[in-house]
Amino acid sequence: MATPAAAAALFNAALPKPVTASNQPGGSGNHPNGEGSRGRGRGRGRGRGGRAGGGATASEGEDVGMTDVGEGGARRRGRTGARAGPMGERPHPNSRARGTGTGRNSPAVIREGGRSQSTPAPGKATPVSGSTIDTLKLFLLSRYTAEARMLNMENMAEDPVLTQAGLLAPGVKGAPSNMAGAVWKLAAQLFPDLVTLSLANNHLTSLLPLSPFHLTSNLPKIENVSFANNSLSQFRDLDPFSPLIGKKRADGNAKGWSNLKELVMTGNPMVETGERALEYQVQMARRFATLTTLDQQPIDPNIAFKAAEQSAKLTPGLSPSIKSATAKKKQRDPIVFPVPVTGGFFESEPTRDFVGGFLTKFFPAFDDERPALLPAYAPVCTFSFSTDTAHPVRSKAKKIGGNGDKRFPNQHKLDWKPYLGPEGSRNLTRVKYPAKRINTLKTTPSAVISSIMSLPKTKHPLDEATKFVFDTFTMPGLLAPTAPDTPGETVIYAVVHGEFTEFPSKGVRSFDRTFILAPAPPGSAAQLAGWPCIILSDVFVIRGYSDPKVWAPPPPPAPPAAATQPAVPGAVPTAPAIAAPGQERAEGLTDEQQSIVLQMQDATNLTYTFAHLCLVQNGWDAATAFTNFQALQANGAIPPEAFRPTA
Amino acid sequence: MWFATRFDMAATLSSVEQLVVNATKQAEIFVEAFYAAQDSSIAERAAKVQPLYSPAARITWNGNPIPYNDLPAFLERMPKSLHEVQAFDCHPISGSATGAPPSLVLSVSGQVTHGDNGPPSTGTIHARDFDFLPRVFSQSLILVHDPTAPPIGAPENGAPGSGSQYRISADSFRFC
Repeated sequence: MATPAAAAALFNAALPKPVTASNQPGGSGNHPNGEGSRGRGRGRGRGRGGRAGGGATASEGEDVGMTDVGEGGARRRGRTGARAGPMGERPHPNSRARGTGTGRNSPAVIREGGRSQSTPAPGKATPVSGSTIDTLKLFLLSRYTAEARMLNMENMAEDPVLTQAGLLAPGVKGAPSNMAGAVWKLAAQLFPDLVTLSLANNHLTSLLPLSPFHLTSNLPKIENVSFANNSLSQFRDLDPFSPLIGKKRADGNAKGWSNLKELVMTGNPMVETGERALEYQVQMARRFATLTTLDQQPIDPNIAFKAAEQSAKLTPGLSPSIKSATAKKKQRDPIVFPVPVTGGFFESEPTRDFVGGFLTKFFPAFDDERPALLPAYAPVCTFSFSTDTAHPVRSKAKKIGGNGDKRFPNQHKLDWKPYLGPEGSRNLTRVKYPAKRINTLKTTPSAVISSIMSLPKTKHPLDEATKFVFDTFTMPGLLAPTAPDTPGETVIYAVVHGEFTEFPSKGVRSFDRTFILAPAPPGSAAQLAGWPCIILSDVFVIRGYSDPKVWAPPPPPAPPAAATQPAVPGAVPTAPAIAAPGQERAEGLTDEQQSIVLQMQDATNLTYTFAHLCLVQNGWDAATAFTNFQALQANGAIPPEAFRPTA
Repeated sequence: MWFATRFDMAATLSSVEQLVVNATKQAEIFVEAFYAAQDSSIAERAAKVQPLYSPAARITWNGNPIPYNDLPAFLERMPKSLHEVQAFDCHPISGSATGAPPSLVLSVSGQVTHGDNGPPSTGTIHARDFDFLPRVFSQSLILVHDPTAPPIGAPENGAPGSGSQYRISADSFRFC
């Protein structure tokens, strides 16, 4: 039964005869036989998802864009003839259509009598039976007004014809996906003079269920369309109808409605009135160069070109009001810290210099001659290294070290394996067994050195000071006293952050290293080797590379020449209000005037700006200025911010 | 066989090894309690975090020294945080213990997200969200045992005294 000729005969039999029950206003398109029944049957077969052994027809592609590409949705493209039916039955080998060498036509199994449409698979493309065709025709005919050449597809969900037949209208949830295509095809055949189409009141959030491709392919001559009172929110929903914007057709033919004169979108979220009205109109005009009436108001399509020169950004996607609403929902308050990130902390310069000196000796030895570190470690010390293997998110966002990053071309060669061995990574979130926790903590200098030697070779960029930062503290009394009743010993606690290049891969890693340093006892091996201190603890953490720019202290603030800014609570503070190093000086002052201002400041404790102002107002007469200042101050007329903060 | 060996090992740890193991356990308890306190709501945070520090603590945050008494004010101005600890390591400081539990040096590394929205899901890492992406942080603490301090971080039905009596006496926090 499933041969092309038989299928065509089946469909022909299902065709309504030329005169049917519903009004058939004159129109040659209503006499299908005019086109030749065979052609119709063939076209019919392709109009539905069920390809009735349509192999023979596949080779004769119809014009006007009924290509297989759009047919029935991309979903069907993947199906081949060997697909089993729902009950597991395989289609008869002979039913495999010829010409499916293209693989795009999927031959369906045509069951005799057609399938009842009372239970369509939701969303699937189901073979459309003859009875469905009849119903759709009835439906279309009931909606057509010949004098106006208008097809009114309003409120399809509640259409009596469709609901009675148990059909779901296109655009309704659960309707078969090929329903719309079938509808437009029928409409084109029934009403070749159709120029006006209304799809209002259909609760459409997207126009895709209406199969815009088929709509514009079958009805390219539409001049007036209404999508009023739907839920369309994106300008690009109209792209498939536009001859100018949007994806081009696969067959290269013209797409969309090239004759569209009137468009009604009233009642859709995408419509903008008020200040954004122009943008909305421009978006519509961009898409339809032939448009003369938009939302029942005249429109000049040339605004699309004029606006392109003027307006800043045309948003091709969401309408602006929706975009701002979604943006507001996602808005995050900017993150503000109470204090800025500054350079290394030190309590006193000698401590800082001491640690700096130690590090200048330590890192080159670590790079080039690790055994030289042996005397630096205290006889009872602790050392371990651990790895934080998580990929820093910010580095990832900035694509640091990714493909093509010229600054870090070798990051991909880095491997954590050398660090994850028996000596190795003592990351206590991962290392849980006591034995390993014990073994990876080295407590004698020789064990420390052998552990260090097992690590890959490193090179610290010591000539670039900006790549390192260290905080130092002196910790008095941290160590137990060596003799009773003596105070505990002082140690230096230093935390270093930096980076190094690892060999042989030459990738860059970031590291943190915490040292606890004690003064080198006189006569000790450390002192003899030239080390200023001995290392009691060394905690070495190796991490994925992350940018140290965040450590750089903020640029020194410009001297406040204008009036002092009021302090904004919670904001990153600018310069402290204490006198910045280097005395400020207003422009154009002579040295004498400058010294008068400074004396005025000393006498009145005004800020420089106000002292200067006061003198200017009093003609640079210091005595008068001072007298007036005192008078004003007695009256409370001088604001508190005019004074220098009490240091 | 190796399973039994582990338990045997526990019985035969030398005192140094026992010290080391205890130190790591203390570190675990402390890290969990500390970051839970740091990540609590802004209203509760100061009250939860400050007791973890000893009154003489030397605290720096990205190079800025924060006196112990200013800590609540500082924490109130900090945005809400969410720390994800990815690695930590802890040593007992040699020479610090004679009979008493030793002082510990603890180095923690991870990522921290600030702000109310929480960390973005990994699928949405994008440079445009840069300001809200987590920062790598590295925090180094010196913990000193205080026998008078109430134990913190004890599990609810744990043995009495299973919390940590360590308090922070030095803290260096940095974004990395």
